[in-house]
Amino acid sequence: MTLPIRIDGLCKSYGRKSVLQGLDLRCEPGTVTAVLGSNGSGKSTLIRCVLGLNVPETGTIKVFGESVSASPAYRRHIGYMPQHPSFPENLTVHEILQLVSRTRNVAPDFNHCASLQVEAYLGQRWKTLSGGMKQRVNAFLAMAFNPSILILDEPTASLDPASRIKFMELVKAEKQRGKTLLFSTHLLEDIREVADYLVFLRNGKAHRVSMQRMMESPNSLNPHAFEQAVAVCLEEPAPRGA
Amino acid sequence: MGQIFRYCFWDLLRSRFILAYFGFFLAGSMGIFRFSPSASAAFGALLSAVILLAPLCCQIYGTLYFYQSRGFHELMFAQPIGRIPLCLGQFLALSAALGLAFLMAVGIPMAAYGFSAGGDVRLLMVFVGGGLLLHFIFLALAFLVAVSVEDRLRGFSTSLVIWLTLVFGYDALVMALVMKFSDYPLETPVLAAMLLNPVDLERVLVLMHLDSAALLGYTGASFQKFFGTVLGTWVSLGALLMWIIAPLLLFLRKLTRKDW
Amino acid sequence: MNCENRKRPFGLCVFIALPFLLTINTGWGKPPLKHSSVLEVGSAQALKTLREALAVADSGDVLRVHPGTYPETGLVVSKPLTLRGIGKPVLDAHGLGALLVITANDVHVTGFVFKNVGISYVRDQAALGFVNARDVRIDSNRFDHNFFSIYGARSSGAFIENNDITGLYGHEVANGNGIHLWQCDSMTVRGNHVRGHRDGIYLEFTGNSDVTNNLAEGNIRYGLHFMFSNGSRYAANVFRNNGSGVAVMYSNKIRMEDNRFERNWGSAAYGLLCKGIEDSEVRRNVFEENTVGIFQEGLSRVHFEGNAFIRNGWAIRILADCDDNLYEGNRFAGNTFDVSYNSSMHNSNVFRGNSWDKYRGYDLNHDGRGDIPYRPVELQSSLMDHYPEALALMRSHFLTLLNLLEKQFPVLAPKSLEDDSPLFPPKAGS
Repeated sequence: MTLPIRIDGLCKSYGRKSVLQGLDLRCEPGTVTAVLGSNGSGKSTLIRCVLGLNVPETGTIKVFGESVSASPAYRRHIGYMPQHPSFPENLTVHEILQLVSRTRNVAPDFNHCASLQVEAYLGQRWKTLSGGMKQRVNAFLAMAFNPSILILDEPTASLDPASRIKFMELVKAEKQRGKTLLFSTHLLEDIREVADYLVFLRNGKAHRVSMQRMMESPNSLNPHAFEQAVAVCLEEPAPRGA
Repeated sequence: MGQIFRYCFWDLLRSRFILAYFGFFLAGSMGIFRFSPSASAAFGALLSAVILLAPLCCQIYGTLYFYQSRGFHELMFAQPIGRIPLCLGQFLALSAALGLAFLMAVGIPMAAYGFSAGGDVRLLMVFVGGGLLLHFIFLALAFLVAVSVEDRLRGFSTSLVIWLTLVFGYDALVMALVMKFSDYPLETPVLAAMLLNPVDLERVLVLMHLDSAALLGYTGASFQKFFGTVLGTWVSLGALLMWIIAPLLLFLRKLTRKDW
Repeated sequence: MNCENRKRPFGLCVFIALPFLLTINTGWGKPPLKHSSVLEVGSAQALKTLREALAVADSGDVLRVHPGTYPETGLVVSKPLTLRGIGKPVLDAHGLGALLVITANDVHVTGFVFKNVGISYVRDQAALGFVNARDVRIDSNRFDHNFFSIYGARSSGAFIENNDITGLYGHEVANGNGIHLWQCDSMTVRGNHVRGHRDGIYLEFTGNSDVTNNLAEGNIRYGLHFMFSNGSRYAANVFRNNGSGVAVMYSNKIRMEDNRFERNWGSAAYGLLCKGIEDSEVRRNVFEENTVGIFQEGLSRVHFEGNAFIRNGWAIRILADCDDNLYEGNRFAGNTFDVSYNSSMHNSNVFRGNSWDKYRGYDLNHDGRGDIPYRPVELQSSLMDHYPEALALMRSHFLTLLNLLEKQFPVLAPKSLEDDSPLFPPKAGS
């Protein structure tokens, strides 16, 4: 079976600083994987390598069996939501949608994420949009072309609580549609709500733990048991049951 | 690439900078054509403006444009489109927009005041064609700087230094060498030096078609001999094109290897 | 510069033609025609050709030559005669030798067309020559396609007026001069139009002469060229579009007034090239669109006054061997460079009261003179003088910058080379 994402022996360094050192990772179809790690542990690097934004040194990354270094075509499977998107500022939202839709060769599905209400400001130029509107267009672009994989880089970091809740609703909906999700985050609430697997980045390697296992930990009666378990995983050497 | 070009060009046509650039050049060339005693004088004055401002505007705006596209790049590079078609599309759009602004800004007054370059079609071609190529050259250099230098402030200063070097520094160096080696026959080396700098090349190419050509030939005829021939024309064109192609290739090379 | 012109006395040509002429004169003992002061010449007349007429004419006769084409070469006028063309008769040499030579005084030639005198590399072969002749008058003729058109030697008092002269337009070597005067004195050259020759008007060792109201244009080398011709006056002529302009050399007490020097563009072209001129006056001339308005070498005590220099490459280039010249009340406008001077040390030339369009001073006391001196020698033009290759940098912004700097801190031109009473405001542009 070809996995949505399969990474083998990924190495990446910036200058002398080695960030990823032989990282392996698999994402099964329909699963939600959250990437955790301290600052500078390589969360963004990992995600950017999958997206093709960063160029890996060694190792292979395959998306549905297609190597990311071969052709950009594999990205048709991926919807991505960057933290700070921008567009040629004199284009209208409509023109932006057209542009992306033409590069993907897929028409956007407005019903898919109707709650974003992007249709309301199709005629506005990008530079006249407020920050919140820009984020909505951003989310819309990630999801409206119905990609099999969604990749999000700290998606809720800059959202106010209400928007965050709305956004997580969208993510849950995507999960229910059977999408494969990969996202980096610092917020444990996000993880608790949707994640199937946690991936801890330590020393340039990935350690995957299923949510089930995390929840099954001995102190399950402790309300902070999950947080404590995560903290332990972030500090200690590899947990045995990964 | 075609789609990217279309949308970016359409975006730029509505951009304030391009409008300002067009308006500024239009006002300038209107004034020059209106008050110049002869076509030759008008083209001389316009030439001065073009070889000073076009490189500056293209270099600075090109750098700025690429830096401002960062978020766009991040989003688009995650789409099923290659980096090269995307950025080439942007380069072409920017070249077309600035080129069009330049073309109309000098073309409208020429039409309005009935200047057919004193009937000299070749002057017109050299002036307009060379001016366009100058735009493309400095946009290519700007993109190269922006992709090479991560820090914006350093990027802008690098761009400024490139502009200063090609517009002033290079000529200062040539002057210094001419003074140092004045005992030797220098016509051919100076000719070669003019070929190597696009700003100088465009200046000399246009001068060859103005009254001042006589002054250029005052000490010897090698300039006239060279630029008057078909070979000279092709070599000049080749030199200008190299100034577009080389930075562009370097830019693309850096682009594909860069981590975003 | 021009020694090939002076190599051969014109007599040789006459010498060759002479025996032929003598046979006609003495050979047949025809009964002489009835003597009359007017001889009619033409196909319908008793005298069919000019040659016949010249053979029978006596001193003081008038030869009226009727319309037609007369193929001739080597005609000699050895008596004081008047040759009058009626309806522009054509003397055609068909590319062979010279047409007509005057060896007598008081000859008047008018109303003819002289054509097709061939190129000769050994003789200065001319359509109309005069040698050792006084008071010759040549007017209202047309000269077409001749090697030399008018050639005078060792003569004096001639009038050459209102002739229309067109040369061969060929290469400098295969082309003679339009009006060529050698070792003459007190000549008047007036109202002629000369084009397509090597030099339009050429004077050598020809003093005390008057060259006025002529138009010389499109000549291959110089419009006017004179050497060793003292005390002459050149006035109200137009020299336009000649290969390298006008050259005057090694003469003194010259007056050049009210002439126009126009469009002598090209590498090594000038409006006026002066070399070795002393005690002379150059007034009220206009120099417009020349590579160099005036090029001056070895000039002493020459007074340049009231001239206009408009849109030249250099208005004036002065070599440092020029002394005690005065430039007063001239107007400079639209020149790339006003003055160049090739030394930074010595200078005894004086500029005062000129109008400079580049002057950026002020006149607080309103006396019509700028309060700060104008320094006409720009850094650029000095640089170009010392390092001609630097011309390639003309109009570059680096040089503009340098020029601005040198305006603040003058270093290259001698301090004395400045106009301390420039006109203010300067007179309008072109």
